[in-house]
Amino acid sequence: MNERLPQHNRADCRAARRVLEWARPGETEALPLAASNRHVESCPDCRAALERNRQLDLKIGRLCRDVPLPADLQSRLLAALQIPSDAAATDRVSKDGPMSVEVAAASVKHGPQNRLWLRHSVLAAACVFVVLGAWFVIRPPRPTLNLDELTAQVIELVDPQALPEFAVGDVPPPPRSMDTRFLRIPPKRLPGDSAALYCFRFKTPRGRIIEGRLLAVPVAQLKNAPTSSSFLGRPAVYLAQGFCSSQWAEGGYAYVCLLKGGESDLNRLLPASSVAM
Amino acid sequence: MDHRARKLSELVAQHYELLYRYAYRLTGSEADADDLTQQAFLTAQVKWDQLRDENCARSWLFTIVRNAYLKQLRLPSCLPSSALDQVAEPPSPDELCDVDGEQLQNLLNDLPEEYRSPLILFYFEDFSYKEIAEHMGVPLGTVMSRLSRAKAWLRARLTTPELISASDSKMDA
Ligand SMILES: [Zn+2]
Repeated sequence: MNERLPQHNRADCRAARRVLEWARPGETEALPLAASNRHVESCPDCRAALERNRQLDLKIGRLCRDVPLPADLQSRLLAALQIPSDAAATDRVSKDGPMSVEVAAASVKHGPQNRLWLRHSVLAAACVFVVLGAWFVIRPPRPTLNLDELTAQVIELVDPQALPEFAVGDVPPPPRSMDTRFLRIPPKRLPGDSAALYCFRFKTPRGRIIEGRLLAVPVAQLKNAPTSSSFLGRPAVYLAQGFCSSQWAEGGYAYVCLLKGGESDLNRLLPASSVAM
Repeated sequence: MDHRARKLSELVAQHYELLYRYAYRLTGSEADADDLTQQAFLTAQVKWDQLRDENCARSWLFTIVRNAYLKQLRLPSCLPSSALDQVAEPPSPDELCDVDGEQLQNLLNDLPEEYRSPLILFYFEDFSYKEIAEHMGVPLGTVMSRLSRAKAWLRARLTTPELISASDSKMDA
């Protein structure tokens, strides 16, 4: 039908379609709608084309907006921002794979509840310690350690300072790809003397104190060595209780650096970017 | 909870869904979208004092996501902008082919970012043309022209079965 229209009408069609294509609710002020509408009223081709495009856009829009959200995204974001969230207590991390653990709401408790929580945590830590110790004693000689399980257990240890020290064997050295000025030397030995735990503490330029831990395990002992070869070589992962972590393998050891905070705090541990205490 | 924490918490509640969807359509990857969304709110937390007007918070967050995405882009892996020059109106088929979100994403991935971003925001229907132009940092006319070409390009592909997954739909930059 369009083919039979004279040249100037085809130009009118293009102009009218361009104008009406842009017409959206609330966004018509600057558009010469009256003339375009007049043209379309008398042009069935334009009416059909505009309607077709409108229908296509509706469908494309629906498809475009249809992005499934990770179920726990909001609580992980709040945890990363260190904002307590009641929702976080019941939310489970499910999509980050093996590093994921349950997000706890322990940080929102206060007063006597807090002391009760502390007692329970110490008890739990003691149990973890006993279980870990027993497990290491009876462990088979082949590589059996799971880095993610170890990390989760380190988080559960309320006070890493309370860990006993085992002065047997070589101490895993600090990594090179991370700023290690703040590590407390020597590290604590984890039961079984193949893993070590460094504690660290530093102050941000705004005076916030960040505390964290660096877990070091010989790669040969691991069933699941990290794939990244440097600190923050892959995006940080958010763990339980507001911890953010990076794991990597370097010089025969696997490292997990975890601190209470977000990725921006981990970034401060890239070499020579922190303020020493 | 202090004032800033409460405000941040509100900001997350109000915007995280749309922000994640934008990041996902921009990157085509759940992990990257997750990371960019987290990065946006962490940046917002650090640079909170830069936010003068809370009514601008949404466009501020979207800009943070886009900048973070552009920063990590190393090599163009999409169509050169000139590939959109020859786009015609979609041919006679009126109906969308039987496409799913993944196929749509593959097509979006083929678009240069300066076309992809406004197109995503346009189809989200939450942004005015003016807001899209501000987000992209380009004049309104530029954004209208890019949108026009990108929409025509996308419609043509989504209504032509052989163009949806054609191996030549992706060209070298
Ligand atoms: Zn016409």
